[in-house]
Amino acid sequence: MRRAGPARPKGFGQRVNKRRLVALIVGTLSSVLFLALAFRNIDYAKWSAALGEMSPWPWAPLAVLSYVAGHFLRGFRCRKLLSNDAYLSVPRATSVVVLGYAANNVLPARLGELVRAGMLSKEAGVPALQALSVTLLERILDGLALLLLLLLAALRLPRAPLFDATLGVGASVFGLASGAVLLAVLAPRAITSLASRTAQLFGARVHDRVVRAVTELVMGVSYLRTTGAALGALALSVGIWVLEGGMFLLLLPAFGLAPDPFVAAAALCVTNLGILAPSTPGFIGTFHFFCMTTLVTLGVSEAVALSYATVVHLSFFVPVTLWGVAIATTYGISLTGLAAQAARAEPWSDREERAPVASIKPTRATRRPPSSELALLCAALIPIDDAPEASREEVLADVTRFVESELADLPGHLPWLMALGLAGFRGLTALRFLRPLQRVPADRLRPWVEAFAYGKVPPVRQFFRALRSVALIAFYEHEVLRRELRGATPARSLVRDRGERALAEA
Amino acid sequence: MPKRDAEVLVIGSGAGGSVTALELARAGLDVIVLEEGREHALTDYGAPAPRAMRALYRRGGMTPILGRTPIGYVEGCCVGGSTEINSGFWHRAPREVLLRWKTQYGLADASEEELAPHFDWAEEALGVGTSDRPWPRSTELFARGVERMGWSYQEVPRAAPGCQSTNACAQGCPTGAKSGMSRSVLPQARAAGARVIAGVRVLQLLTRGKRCTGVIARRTNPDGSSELLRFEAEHVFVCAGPTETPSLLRRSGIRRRVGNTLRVHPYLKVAARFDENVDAHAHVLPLLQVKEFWPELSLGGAFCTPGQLAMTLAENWRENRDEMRHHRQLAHYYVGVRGSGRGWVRPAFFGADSTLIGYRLSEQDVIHLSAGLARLAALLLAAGAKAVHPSVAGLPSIETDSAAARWLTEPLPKTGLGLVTVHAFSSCPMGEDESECAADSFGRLYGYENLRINDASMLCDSPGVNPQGTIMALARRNAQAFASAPR
Repeated sequence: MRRAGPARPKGFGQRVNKRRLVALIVGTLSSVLFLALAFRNIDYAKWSAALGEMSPWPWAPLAVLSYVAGHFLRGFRCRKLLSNDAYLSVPRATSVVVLGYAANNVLPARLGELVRAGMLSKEAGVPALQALSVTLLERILDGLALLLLLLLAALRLPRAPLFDATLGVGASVFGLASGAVLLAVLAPRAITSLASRTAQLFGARVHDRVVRAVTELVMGVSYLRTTGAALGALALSVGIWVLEGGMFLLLLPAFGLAPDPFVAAAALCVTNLGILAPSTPGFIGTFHFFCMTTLVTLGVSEAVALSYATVVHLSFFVPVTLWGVAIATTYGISLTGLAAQAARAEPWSDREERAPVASIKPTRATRRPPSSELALLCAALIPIDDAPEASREEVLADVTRFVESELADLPGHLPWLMALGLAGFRGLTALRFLRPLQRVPADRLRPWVEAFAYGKVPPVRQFFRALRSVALIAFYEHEVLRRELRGATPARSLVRDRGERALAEA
Repeated sequence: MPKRDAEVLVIGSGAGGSVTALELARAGLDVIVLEEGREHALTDYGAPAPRAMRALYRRGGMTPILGRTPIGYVEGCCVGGSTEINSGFWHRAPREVLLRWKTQYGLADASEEELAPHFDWAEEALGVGTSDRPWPRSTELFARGVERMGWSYQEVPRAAPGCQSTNACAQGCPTGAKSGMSRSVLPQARAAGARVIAGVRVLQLLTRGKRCTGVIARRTNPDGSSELLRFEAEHVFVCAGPTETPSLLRRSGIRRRVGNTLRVHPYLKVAARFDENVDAHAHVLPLLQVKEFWPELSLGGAFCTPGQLAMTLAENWRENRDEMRHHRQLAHYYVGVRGSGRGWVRPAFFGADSTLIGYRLSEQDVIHLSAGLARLAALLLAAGAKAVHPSVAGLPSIETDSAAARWLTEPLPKTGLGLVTVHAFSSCPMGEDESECAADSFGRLYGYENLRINDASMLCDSPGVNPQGTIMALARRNAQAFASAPR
């Protein structure tokens, strides 16, 4: 007879651990294989000599510093990616990232990613799947940044099958993943709708879970909905890997190798794309093999290359693991606690039912000043001089804000077409005046804008029609203008007076 | 029996949804109305146009109908739907239209006589009638022009008893005189037991086989957060309007004859300058319509505020902008055509949840708009206008009869037309002809046992008159037929 024990998450003990065990075995076998490959032709005397001849000062501390700086930038990126739905300070976001990395160093099967998602969910107060989606998005951005850096390096270095193969495999994996992310960013409703319609076949319970899961996953990539934000996130990712590349670069002179940034970039990218292969916790074996192979491909002797790989791995492994342990201690999380954190981010099947199918956090209102370019366009489209001089700035700001919100609310792909059209107009303006739109004098900008808005080319006129109609209505219906047009009685109070009189009569 | 949130879910609280809710609640059914927009107090109405547009209109007011000649379209998105922001003009469906619907679409049991009690009821409920106040100057001038042309006019009845002439219909009537659904029918529906939940957008219908089991909806909270909710019901009435109903159906995988037959009444506006102060912006819109040339076209008065005048003048802004300095002498009129073109409605694939609309303006529509402009310009010149500025890019102001008469025989440039509309319908026509219609004669969607439509989307084609009366009468008839049928 079984004794009643403390409540555990359903299936946690058996199903989850079995899966982990399989991953651990596969990872260990893989690590052993890569270690064997790395060490098969090694002359151990030369290897230990190379290690002994290493001059760590000042390269090793600088390398670690560069790597650590990269983690702060990762924290900043994590904060940005969540900024629509939650506020997370950079130190806190960095802690979450570092904890994930440290967990990857001590837990098998990249469980650190799940730890990171679990912590992120807890710290930011967002659903677990949304946090997981953000974590995956970070990984995809990392992959794209690495591919970009490897491409740059491959263009400068002698052609090698290793680079071609890595680029090919990386482009396939991250191309597919980026396609999926792009779809989720561009067509979130279509994806949720498709999921809902498909899941209906399996009953209400399954349907609601699927819809909730898809909604949360899609929310995780919602930060990328503007082109600027997407490019910004990619640029940040490149910055992160440039800093991590700094570690690879700064350790080259420690082994008497020339500090070539392209060699360092190649080693960084091939190694980090290579460790996507299964391995033991801490990527032992895979890391060494790919790092060493890159350098050997570029003409470095095997013994030096392996020594270099060993030191780079230690610089990568030790500081972040210690940092992670410190954070875990601060948070009061043990190793088993980390595993539990990982379970938190497991698929939703273990979670309790909630009344709503899904909850969506408020998008943080960003009270930004109206776009200066749009303000210039609006000023050229409306007779701003008709407004009293003292109120012109206020009127123009209100008009621009209204136009901005109306353009943002256009359905489907139209906001993007509008943005594309405006970018084209900016480009033409720059060509015509040989300066950016903001620096074109108002008296020259107005006839230029009018030539487009009221010109003879129908598609261009139609494009500007949306802008000018909204701008004009916002301008002439502005309280200041109505007061000006009507004389002393403001329109609103006229309407209000009559309204109140009628209500009183009623 | 599975647990349900209600016996009937009504999606939308406009002219169709409100009447449906009232009739079903009166029949003793448990009804929930889900409305995407917010509920507003009377004190929120009558705000300046930009603020009113953001609060009461779908997508803040700007919904383009795509096509070679794009059309500006607006519809309400608040409790009461478009009835909160329209003029309240009231027409019964003309006999000719009903006959056409019967013969072309097989629409059964919807003759003039059969619909008369429903029109009677609606007119009483909304206090439909003509104005008991002196006509504003813009109306008087229009009447003078009609008389001088030797045509006839009619003052159009409005669902606005006790109108105070605030000229704020499009911003929500601040006096409460206009009988929008939120002030007229919905309170009765609530009194009869219907529950109205505002701020809930239905994202998807849940279907299983031939039945609709409920909906997934998003409720937006005041703090900006939202939740996806499931509502389950025995029967679902989709009354989300002519664009959102087909969009919702298509999003839910229901596509048969859905969203392919949108019709609109395209309107061409003109600003007329008189040599006296008309002060059209300070009074209710002109109340007369010329139906001399119906069904192909009608002439009448449009909302007139400085912003709307500027939009009309903007087609030739460089030539016309100085006219805004004489805005007190300007009044706003329109040519409306029945609309023989066809449009489409599709849920947008890209971006957040939204709907794309397209319309192909027919050559016949252009010819009618051209002839209508000729007649309207002649009428206004006869009434004393010094210049008539049509909303057509590249077209100079019309200042003489001969300049007006040109458009009787010559079509206006199609790509220069600055058209607008507030009347859209027929995106899911109903009738017994399954090859043409999405739903049967009482709004039940073909292929589904318990899913119905009951709003402007069900009209068979363009009625050629303000559609609110027809929508309400048909919605009441359909709801009563549903309530009295054995289930």
